[in-house]
Amino acid sequence: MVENKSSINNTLSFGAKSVNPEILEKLLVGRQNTSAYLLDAVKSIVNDRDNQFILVVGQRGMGKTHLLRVLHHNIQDFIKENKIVVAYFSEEEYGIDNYFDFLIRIFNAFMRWNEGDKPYLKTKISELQEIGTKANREHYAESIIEEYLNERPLLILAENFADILESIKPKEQAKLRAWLYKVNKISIIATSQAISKDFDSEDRPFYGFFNTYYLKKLSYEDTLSFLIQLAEIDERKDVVDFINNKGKGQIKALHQLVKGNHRLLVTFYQFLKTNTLVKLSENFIKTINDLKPYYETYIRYLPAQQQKILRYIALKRKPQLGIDISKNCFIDQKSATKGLSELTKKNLIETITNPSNKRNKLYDINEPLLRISIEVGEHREGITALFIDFLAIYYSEQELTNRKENILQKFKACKVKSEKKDLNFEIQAIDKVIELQKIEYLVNDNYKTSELIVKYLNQNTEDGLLDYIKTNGIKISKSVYHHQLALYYLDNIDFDKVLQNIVKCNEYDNQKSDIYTSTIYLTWGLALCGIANKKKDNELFQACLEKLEYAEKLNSGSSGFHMSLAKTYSLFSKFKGGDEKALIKSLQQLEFAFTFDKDDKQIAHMKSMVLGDLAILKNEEELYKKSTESFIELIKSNPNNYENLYRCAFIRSKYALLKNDLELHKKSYFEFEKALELNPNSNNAMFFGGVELFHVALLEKDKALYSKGLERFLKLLSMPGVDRNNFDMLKLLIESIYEDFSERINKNQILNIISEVEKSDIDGLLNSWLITALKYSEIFNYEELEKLKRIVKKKNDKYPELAITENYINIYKRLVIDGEKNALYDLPKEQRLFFEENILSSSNN
Amino acid sequence: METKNITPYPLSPTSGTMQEDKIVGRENEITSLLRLLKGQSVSVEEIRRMGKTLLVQKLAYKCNSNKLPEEFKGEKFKAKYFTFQGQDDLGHLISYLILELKKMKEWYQIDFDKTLQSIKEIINSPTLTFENLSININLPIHQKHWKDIFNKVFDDISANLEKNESKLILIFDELPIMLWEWYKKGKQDDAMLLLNILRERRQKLEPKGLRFIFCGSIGMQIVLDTFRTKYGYTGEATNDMAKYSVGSFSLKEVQFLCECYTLSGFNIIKEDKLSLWESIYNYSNGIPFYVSKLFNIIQTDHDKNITELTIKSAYDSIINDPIHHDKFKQLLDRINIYYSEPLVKAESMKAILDFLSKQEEFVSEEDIINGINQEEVKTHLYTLLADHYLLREMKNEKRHYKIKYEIFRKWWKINQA
Ligand SMILES: Nc1ncnc2c1ncn2[C@@H]1O[C@H](COP(=O)(O)OP(=O)(O)OP(=O)(O)O)[C@@H](O)[C@H]1O
Ligand SMILES: [Mg+2]
Repeated sequence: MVENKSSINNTLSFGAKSVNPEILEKLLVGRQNTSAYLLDAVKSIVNDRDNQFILVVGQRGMGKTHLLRVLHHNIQDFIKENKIVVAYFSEEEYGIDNYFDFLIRIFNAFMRWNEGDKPYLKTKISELQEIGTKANREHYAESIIEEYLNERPLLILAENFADILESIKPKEQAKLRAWLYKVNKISIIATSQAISKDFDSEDRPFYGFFNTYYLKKLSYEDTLSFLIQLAEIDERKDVVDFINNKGKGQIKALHQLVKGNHRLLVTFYQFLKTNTLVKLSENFIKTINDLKPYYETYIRYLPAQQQKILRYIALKRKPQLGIDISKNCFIDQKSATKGLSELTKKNLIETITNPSNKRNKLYDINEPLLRISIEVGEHREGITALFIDFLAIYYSEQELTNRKENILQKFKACKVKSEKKDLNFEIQAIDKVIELQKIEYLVNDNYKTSELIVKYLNQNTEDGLLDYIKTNGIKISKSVYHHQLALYYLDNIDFDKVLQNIVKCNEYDNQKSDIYTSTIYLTWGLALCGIANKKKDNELFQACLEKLEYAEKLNSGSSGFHMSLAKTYSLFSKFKGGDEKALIKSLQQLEFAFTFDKDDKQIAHMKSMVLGDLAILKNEEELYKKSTESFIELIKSNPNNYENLYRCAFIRSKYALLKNDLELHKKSYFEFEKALELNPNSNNAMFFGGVELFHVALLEKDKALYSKGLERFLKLLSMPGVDRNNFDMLKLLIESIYEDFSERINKNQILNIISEVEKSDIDGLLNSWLITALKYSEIFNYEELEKLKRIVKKKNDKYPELAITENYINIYKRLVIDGEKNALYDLPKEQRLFFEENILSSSNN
Repeated sequence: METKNITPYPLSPTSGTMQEDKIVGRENEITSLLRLLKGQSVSVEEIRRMGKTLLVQKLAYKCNSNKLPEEFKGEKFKAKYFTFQGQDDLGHLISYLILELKKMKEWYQIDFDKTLQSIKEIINSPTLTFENLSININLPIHQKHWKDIFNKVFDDISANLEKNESKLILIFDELPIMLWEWYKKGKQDDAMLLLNILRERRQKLEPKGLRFIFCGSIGMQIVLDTFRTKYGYTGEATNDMAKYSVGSFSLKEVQFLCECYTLSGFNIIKEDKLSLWESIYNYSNGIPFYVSKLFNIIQTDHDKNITELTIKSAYDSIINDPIHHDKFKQLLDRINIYYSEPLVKAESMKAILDFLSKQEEFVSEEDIINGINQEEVKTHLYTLLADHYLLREMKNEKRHYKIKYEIFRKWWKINQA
């Protein structure tokens, strides 16, 4: 395996022997540090008698050969001054099969670079040939080299060192290492495309022996100056100007595309020079074709699972999460992790650590060339996807259309067949690019469409909407129209309508891009989730998850999908009355969402909430702390946000209840109060703040607080959205005040409540409140009792059970007001007992 | 001790071989080793890259260049370092030994030439190959002959030692791994024979002043256990030798090493040097290999600027970045390679490490047994202890364990558990 045997771009090819070292030095863009590092290493050998073992690791085309050549050039003075002996292995040298071969390679290198010593070395080699057994030969070869070195240290410069070790096998590697220890003044600076077992397995001699140095990819600035250097060497002032001025943006795109691979840049440089696509694609495809066999063999020797993983990531064209990889390749997670780490080690994929979630790493193909080779292999397309990408980024839509026009004309005028073919190729390529860009337009128009829909539907019904949109100059497919409509209804919480429109969407559209389809599925899933939540329907939840998961699969390029899934899981848990698994899944989805933006406040908010739910469900202090602490962080960063305060208080209140902890209740109460300050109209904050007030009062037995709580819930009665809970709280308060302080509720207050109860018309409430009134109120007078009876009469038809209650009121009047002791005995036994127990127990004394 | 006053010298952070006079620290270890060596031979064991070779090389260097502390002056120690890596079989090994010993002619006025000649004759007898079978005709035909030569050489040397009232330390680096390789290639007979010869020589010649240091990354125990179970080997090959395990550097030693590295061209801007070295000491747990790696990363990724931040960042990438996993992978490899028969054994050992990697303090044996659902935890704990993974402590008469080095614990927790 030799770097760049067939030179791609003649003079500028890195493999070419003939290139003058000064030019190489000039082209050392982005590698100055590395070069200085290696030079320093050699200096330390010469000056400090240190032994260096450095392995420079980098993919093909990253300039390893180049680096060694420059290094060799830079240390010539040391060599001439006899301060060091260098054995620079030629890259073309194949067939190092064993340790002895390796030693011979050192001889050859000596001879190649030191004409003067050649005769001497030659006689030594012929002596060597006389020696019979292998062991003796090795030993003799060692000693010749040692002799030749004399006092000087030896530096071996070798390429593809991993391959060399691989072919000489561990046993012989051991001999090499033993020799290094024996002579103790030998250094090795070598390159390799990746590290192998021979460097990182415990049972290999060179385990941990080398300092590995991974070549970094070129930065944008590096790319820029690299291209400028190329153009300068080429004496193309115009290209230099172009790069320095107009071309900057485009080169940025270029840089992202080739990921800073030197060799691909050289290819694209040709394009900058000629500005014809045909030449570019020719060069491009030639580069790929040159390299493809190499990659194919590389891939072929990988274990099947690793091949699968590699292919999957390559074709996805963007970093993938480990979990997704294992899922989609049908490999269990453990093996997938192992495969991924092997591939990383081989430098075929790159691990991107996810700062917010170290355990969930992203993986990407390390080498653009490898990706392309795989793509070419899979699609068998002439025009590779990367090339199309390049055009799409490089040209604006307008430029492309103009260009296409031009070429079409040329095409018509052209008579030469081969030229026609080239032009046709270019037209095809441009068409593909335009197609690719269409998706973008769709998205752009959607904004406008949705604006129009909102505007129109605020005043009209759906009829005529489509025409209205069209008259506003928007061309819209039926599918997109219905999708936009679905989105509108989703916003307006009309889930059934969402579903109707989604159905239409699917009906109309035949050829949807993945991205588009994914948004449809997202909408669909969310609507289902809404319905499931309302209907509390397990199956609907499942259907919803299915849609959302599918959407995410189609387009894993946005956090929204994960957010939606997270939301659904948390709603599902709520529906189940707490479901640990679902909550954990929700958290997982949030972690994924974080991978898109680790600072997203909304995700953080949701995460705190779900953590809180989980904490309550599992009654786990640590989770509770995590949840509230992360809320506190959020509150700190945005003190005026109501939602954070409210949710934090909410989780805390639930936990306080679990632990029956006074301090927590207090804290929660204050948080609710603060939230209420931010949003005085929130009856939720008002209500739950009141609940906390109640808990504090209860635990502290504080009458003033009880009264305060009572006031609060009375006040809440006049706010919109009152529900049963509010009345229940009132009842609790009344009971507690009586129990703790034997104090009865003010008559007017309770009559007021009862008339609210009547208004609210909540099933069963009136009856129980009447009993409560009789039991806990200050003693009613005739008039008041009549009032109660009137209310009963009004509702008698709807709630027949009130008849008994009416009877109770009568008995109350006779017994409590008139003092008629026998009145009780007008009640049948079970009612008498009830009356004694529930009404009289307090009202007589 | 004399080195205390030594001034730092420029040293590059490398991890291969090193000039013996530049090896840092280890004065206390050398003293302890020599105290042991006064009376007996020693077996030095520690996992890979912990600094065994440099330690014994420095010991040899100090012996031979008259730099030993006062207390050893009377012993007249000399030492010879051999590395046994790559020796194919007993024949080659012995020829190598004798070749090297020959270089010490001036010490002992012994002429090895004749011996060497007869050895060559034996080695040069050809090896036959037949149908993938490699037939070595050296052994056992010449077995007796080997023994004789070997014995003779050592007898001669020892007689000399006795006469001069001096001691010679023969350092056999990588002996266990060589035996292991022989075993894997079916040359276990060579291996067992060598062990027996060595033991016999030791017992006979130690009284005359001959000493051995066996040095290696796998314990002799692993090799012997394998021979016992597989071939019914009954020899007590090393039970008369003292065991010595190489620890990490002291803070002082780390400081000195850091000073040396810094002189090779690093920059310290503003910060308090001593506290920087202390950070490095803490992060590396004093293991010189990791100190050198931290410096190497600071060199390549941080422009050679040593600050608290760059140190921390270098440490983080060592622990987290897959490109640095090779520096820890042996923890996993060793289990897979040496303890995977039967497979459950390896699995349990990993489970134990998973469990312990999550514990920052010593954990009682009971808690470990309860914490993981595996068989024979006690045995495996002992194996891990013997193989330098763990530390043990007795508390309330109960055994407590913890992973020996924090840096290993962290790595395992993040990347394995
Ligand atoms: N005393 C020391 N002075 C300086 N550096 C040291 C010292 N000890 C260890 N090191 C560092 O650790 C590396 C490994 O040391 P050494 O070669 O002695 O380990 P080892 O235990 O013999 O390893 P192996 O089992 O792989 O042979 C050295 O290359 C060096 O970077
Ligand atoms: Mg060693």
